[in-house]
Amino acid sequence: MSKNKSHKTTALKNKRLGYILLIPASVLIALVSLYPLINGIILGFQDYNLLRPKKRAFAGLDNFIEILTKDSEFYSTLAFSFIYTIFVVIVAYILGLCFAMLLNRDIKGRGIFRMLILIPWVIPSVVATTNWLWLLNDQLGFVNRTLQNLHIIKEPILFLADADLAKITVIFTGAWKSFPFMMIVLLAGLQGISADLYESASIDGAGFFKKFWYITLPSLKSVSMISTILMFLWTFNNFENIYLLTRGGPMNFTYTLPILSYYTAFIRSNIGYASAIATIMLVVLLVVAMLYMKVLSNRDKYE
Amino acid sequence: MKKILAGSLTAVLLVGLLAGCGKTDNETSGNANTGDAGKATTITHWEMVNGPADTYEAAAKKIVENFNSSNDQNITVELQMTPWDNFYQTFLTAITSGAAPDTSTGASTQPLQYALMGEILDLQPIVDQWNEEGNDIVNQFPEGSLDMLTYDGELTGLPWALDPRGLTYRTDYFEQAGITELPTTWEEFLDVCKKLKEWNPDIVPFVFGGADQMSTQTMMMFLMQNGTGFTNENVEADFTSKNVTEALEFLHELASNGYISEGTASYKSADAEKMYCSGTAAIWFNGMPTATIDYEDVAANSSVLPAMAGPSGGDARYYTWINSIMAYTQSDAPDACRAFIKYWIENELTLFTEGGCSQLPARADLQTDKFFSDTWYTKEFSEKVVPVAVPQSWPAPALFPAFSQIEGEDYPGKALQAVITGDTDYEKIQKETNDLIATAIEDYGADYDEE
Repeated sequence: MSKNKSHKTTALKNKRLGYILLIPASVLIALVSLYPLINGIILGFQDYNLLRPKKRAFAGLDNFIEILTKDSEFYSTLAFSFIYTIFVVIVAYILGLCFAMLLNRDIKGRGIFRMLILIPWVIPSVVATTNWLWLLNDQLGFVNRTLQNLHIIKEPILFLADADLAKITVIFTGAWKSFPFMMIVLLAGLQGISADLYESASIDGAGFFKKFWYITLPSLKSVSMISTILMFLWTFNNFENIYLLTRGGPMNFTYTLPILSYYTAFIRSNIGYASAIATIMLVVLLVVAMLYMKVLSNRDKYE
Repeated sequence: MKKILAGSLTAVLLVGLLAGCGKTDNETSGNANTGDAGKATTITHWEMVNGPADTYEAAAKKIVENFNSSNDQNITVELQMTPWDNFYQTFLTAITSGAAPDTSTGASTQPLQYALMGEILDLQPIVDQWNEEGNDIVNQFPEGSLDMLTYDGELTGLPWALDPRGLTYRTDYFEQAGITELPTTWEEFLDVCKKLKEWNPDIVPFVFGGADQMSTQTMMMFLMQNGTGFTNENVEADFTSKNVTEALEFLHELASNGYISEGTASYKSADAEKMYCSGTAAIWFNGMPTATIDYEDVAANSSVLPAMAGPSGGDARYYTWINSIMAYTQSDAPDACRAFIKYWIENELTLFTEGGCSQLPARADLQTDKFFSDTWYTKEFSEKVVPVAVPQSWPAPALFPAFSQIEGEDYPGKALQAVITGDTDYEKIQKETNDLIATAIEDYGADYDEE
């Protein structure tokens, strides 16, 4: 009886210690994450322009109603945000999978290749984007010059000046920056697939594509779901790739929601409206995050 | 024992925290007015990086140190260099969060914006003091610049530098292309571009940054040369006039004839600079071409074109930004701020001569310094651009609240992008742009009229 009581007291003490140890981290998270988040949401319900802070007032749902019912710029931007995000994720996934499968093979210098492929992911966005700007310039850029010298093209390709090409270019550079993450995650997934499965399939006469379709892809299902959802969240939220390349141009054709929100806040100085846009973004991302949580819980169940 | 240890540690931490928050008895940070004999006042000055990092900071520091050692009011200025990248949000965030500096330099639109927010300190006492001292400085500022900086009867800033915009060109290319007469009209400019293109098809006759704010600034130059701006003199949106149509048609003609490259709408100012400095372009629209310092051949063969006039423009024009130094109402040491700004304006020459500031002094008497005639571009910009330069808000008599939004969002620049990428529906482009400008002006106008 007394032994039992002592166990309970120790457990209670441990529990209390656990909570106490959690306090610093919780306070820090509340300060740097929770406070800005809640403050941002509150701002979305206010008429607040930075240039006239004294006229700050509660606006109820006005900002949201205006965005959702009158703001055509918001809808065109939302549409491109989805197009941009979906294509970046698809291209990054395909590239990541291809490289992961290549690097999963027992080849010489595999470590060096893995390191080299990680470069786009580890170099700072500003450096990467500046390089892309130089590479893709129509007059001095390496890409156009090389293609012209090889007589593949006669006129330079307007990667960032033509509206349609600019959309494709920002998707490409976004995918280029993101695919190494996909590769790492998928490579880890590939290494978890038992070699016995492939061996049995080979004995049964399955070729590369059948093995890929019936073994590799199903085995990567849960890791693929998680990585693509995470990538979706990051890409939808991404600001610097497009801003540094095109600033949303030419003629606003590559505007995404983070850029629209930024311009609304810091150029139009309309913090309330910008926060409402950001809150709508948050809702979109929450839906995706919930999907992510569900996938995670399903995976845990299967495992 | 544990309790004693915990208590001691807590006490040490608390003491440390309190010590970190505290100040010495005889020192305040922007919390005291000057004039309290013996009481030290510290103010913070944010200086924009207006020149090469290695020389400009040293020159700014020198002025600050000289002020610190020479003022008899026990004022200490702490200098903080601030990059131009994202300056807009840097300042806005600092001001709205109550962390504004005491004084700063900055873009020409800043004083008015912050004055509207009630955050700008009136600098009229400095002007009054100069007048009392019989100092002629006030008469050396560009004409109308103090009026431009006056809002609601208060002087929101003092002009310290001019950042003119002009067309720099390659003299050797012009010579080789057989161009003997420099263009003074748009028609002649097209002829010059044609000759350059015929002489060497690999050279881009004219380059400018079409993807960033230089797109709006390029549009502004051509509008002003054609006798208009994006607003009229009554600060009403004025983008649907015949003058604007002519400017857009001219820009389209430049693009359709290949006188500007097809990719111009994607060029940032740095791309245009690179094209000019690498010899790929013959004429470059920008501020003073300080980058040519690193390219001796280019510098030796560069000059500035005279201002041009459009078909409906009348006078030939360039334009200039007038940059100011300002102080903030958040400072608790307004007199110290004014004392420092007064000193800064009186002693700013070394920022240019030693600091390599990429602008020109706003004071006309300083522009005559030998330094400015020794450097080719400062000499030429002083002689060819400044005398015919109108302020950035022209034809509006002063800056207006919506200016920075219109410029920041590149509304005129997007009209330029549209025509140089092949859109010739001028009426639609002009109407859409005009609506955006009108909405911005209306939004701000309505709000401030109410206050």
